[in-house]
Amino acid sequence: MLDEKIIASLQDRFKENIVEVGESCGDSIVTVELNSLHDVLSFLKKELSFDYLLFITATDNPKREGKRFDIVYQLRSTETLDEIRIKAAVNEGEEVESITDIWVSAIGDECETYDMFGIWFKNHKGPGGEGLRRAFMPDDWNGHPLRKDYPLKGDDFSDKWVEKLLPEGQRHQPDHTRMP
Amino acid sequence: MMVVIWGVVKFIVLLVLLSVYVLFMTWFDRKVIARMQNRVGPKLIGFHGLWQPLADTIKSFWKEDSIPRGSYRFLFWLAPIIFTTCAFAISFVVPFAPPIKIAGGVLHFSVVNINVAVLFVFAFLGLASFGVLFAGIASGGSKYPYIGSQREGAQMISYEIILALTLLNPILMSQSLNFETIVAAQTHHLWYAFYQPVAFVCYLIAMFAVSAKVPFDLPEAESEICCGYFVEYSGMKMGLFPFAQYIVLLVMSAIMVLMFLGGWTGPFWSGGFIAGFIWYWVKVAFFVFLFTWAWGTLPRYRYDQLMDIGWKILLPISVLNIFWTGFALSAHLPFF
Amino acid sequence: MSSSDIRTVELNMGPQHPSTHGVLRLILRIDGEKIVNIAPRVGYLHRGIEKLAENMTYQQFTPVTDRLDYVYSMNNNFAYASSVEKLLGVTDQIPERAQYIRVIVAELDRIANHLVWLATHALDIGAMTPYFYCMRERELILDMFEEISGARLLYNYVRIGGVAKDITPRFMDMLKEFVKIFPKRWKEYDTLLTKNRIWMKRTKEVAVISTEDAINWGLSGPSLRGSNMEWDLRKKKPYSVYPELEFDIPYYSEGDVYARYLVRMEEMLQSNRILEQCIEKIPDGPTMMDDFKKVSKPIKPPAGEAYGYNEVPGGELGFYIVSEGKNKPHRMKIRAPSFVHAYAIPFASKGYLISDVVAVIGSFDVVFGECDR
Repeated sequence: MLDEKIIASLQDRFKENIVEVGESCGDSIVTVELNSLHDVLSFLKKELSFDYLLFITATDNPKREGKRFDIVYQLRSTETLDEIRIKAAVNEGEEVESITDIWVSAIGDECETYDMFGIWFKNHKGPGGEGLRRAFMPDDWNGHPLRKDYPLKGDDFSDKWVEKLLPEGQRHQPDHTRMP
Repeated sequence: MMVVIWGVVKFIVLLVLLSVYVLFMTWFDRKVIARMQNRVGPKLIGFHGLWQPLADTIKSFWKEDSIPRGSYRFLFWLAPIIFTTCAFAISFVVPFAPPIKIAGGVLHFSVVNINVAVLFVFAFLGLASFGVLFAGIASGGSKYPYIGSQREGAQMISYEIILALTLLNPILMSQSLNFETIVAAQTHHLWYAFYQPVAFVCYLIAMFAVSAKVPFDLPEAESEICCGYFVEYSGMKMGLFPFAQYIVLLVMSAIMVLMFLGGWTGPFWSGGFIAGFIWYWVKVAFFVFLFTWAWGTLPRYRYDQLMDIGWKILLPISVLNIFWTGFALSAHLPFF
Repeated sequence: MSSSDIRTVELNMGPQHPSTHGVLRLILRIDGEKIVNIAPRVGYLHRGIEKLAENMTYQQFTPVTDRLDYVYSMNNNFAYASSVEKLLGVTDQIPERAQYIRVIVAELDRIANHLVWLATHALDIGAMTPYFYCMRERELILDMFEEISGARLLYNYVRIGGVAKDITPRFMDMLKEFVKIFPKRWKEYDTLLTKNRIWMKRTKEVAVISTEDAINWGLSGPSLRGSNMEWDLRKKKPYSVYPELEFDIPYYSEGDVYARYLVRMEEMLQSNRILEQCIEKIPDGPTMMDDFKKVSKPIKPPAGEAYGYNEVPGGELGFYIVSEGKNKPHRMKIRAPSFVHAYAIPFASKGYLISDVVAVIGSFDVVFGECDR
């Protein structure tokens, strides 16, 4: 469980921007507003020594009223060994301020989150000045696989995409062209 | 006329012998490296897999011979031919057994017994690297072969200098460029390796570098540039590269033995053809084995480190060593 | 194109390349042999494991975790099981014998992974022989795992609530034998590489990473310990029975490839030390919690979320599980060390040579089953 002091100093600094402070299974969770996310994270790193970014991810809640996605940041302090999870609600089409200027390790995670959920990160700077790009899926892919409305077996686009790249002989032929 | 006929006969015999040697050298390499690595090696075909190299050769003749679309076809064909031809050419001047005095002259066991044999070796060694360079350039802009041939070019230039500088010491001491004369000069006193330990070690290192074997196998570093200059080759055209490399390896070992270790002379039981023959091949086989041994033991150097060793360490040492030899010879120091 | 771009060449390394350890693709921009810029491309082994997790029950997902980093499957099982246990709040109810068995298999697997790492890392740098020596010892470990789980690569042995089966007396005999001979065998790799001049030249002062950079890039495990950071989740955030066991955290201050090599070599001996203690301390008793004995009985964690993590051989493997009170997770994020390390390769190898890139890839021990998930 997180030290009360840290929560207190966070609340001190970002009074209106903190939506909720909670806990689940021993993990501290602080929900903040989206526009203050970058400030909160850089404050946590610089002032409260949360120097280690474990991961960035998102959760998709299509049935929830209000904003659809939750973007999740898990931080750890290598000095005090505290852990904190910062969450912010993001809606479809909203952009999130990139934190690659605070943690370089955010590059991969932001690319992955964009790839899987379609959440765009502003001012993302990859290695050698690369912009935000899909981490796993091909660049010309359509759709974001980890959204709840994306079918598990893939959609029509994915079938066509695979066919497009296969050499002539390996393409799936329609049944009526095959020999009986 | 007799000389020409003899030359052609020797040429054909050497061609056949070297081809057979390369075949069984691959078997030897694989078997020795397998023993070093707790493996068995080739086992199934013939006695302990002795016919495995034949099977491999037949297989590589039947392989599909693909030429990349963007390649320069002429150079692409020419590259393995140049490499193999030059490798064979080097072996022409190397004696493979002590000469025999027969009625009316001396029977030399090299295809041609010329007085500038060492120079001939250097000339064709330099030309052989053109095969590798062409292979890289002709592969149609493929980058791994290009990097590989770049490395080969740099490595050859750097280490042939050292090779030449180290061999200059025995040449100075024997005042000859003919291998048989150099060997004969060593029968009068000790082997040159004892007079020239520095040159001996420098040659040993340069030998590994010139024949591009571990730890200097940078042109074909398989874990970095995926076999380097012959990535785009297939079938027997690809097979010619290691083929020629094995010949270079043998010739380098033979030159080592001839120049520094007294050729066919031995510490005891020397004189006579049989004894000389055995002594000579035992020594050569040791160095051939040394290549395999290093392959099984050592990691690979990095490109810049290879250049550092060549230009910053070996080159100054070899140059100083020549000065020392010159001084010792002109001052008639003891043992010189 | 600026004038400096004319000098450089773009070289595509991978996804089919002998030393990218799977399907990493690096787009190198090189000036001669020197690296100007690297862009990593991952995802060639993307199987959508996180999407699968949302459509599977908790028990069904255990075998899928084997497929993350297939070199240390036991540790993946362990990390997943402990994450779900954290979500369920039963971490302290796991039978002690099961805890010990988990530690034994995890440490054996750590040795097995480090052997594979050493084998491939040495092969990348050009030394071929250590590969076969390492595989010889890994074979012993795989035989042991086959004895208890029936499988040699994907074990599905550590389950939620305990372990699948009790270990056999034969396994214990094999383990005792292995613990005895392993230090001697370890000496062989040590003699081949550690003091080897070429090895030191190739690895020392290559890809030096400072402590700040290592934390900033999110490195974990041995890669972080090579950068002067005494960090091991088994000590810092103890879980299972690790607090009862005695072992050291090896860490080196140089931050280069050689330091990371030394850390992993030392870790193998420390794991062996843990195994020795486990053999003496392992108690009798059940190996599975009663609630989880039936795999068909669905697990329904209360609504909530948990982030559980383990120190696996590659670094910190974490499972962030969001539950909505159903028998399937709402969201499962896998924090894979290889993914983070793959994105650190460009920073670590910038300005070095092509030959150093393969050394860096090897020193981070990235495996793409885990990275691409």
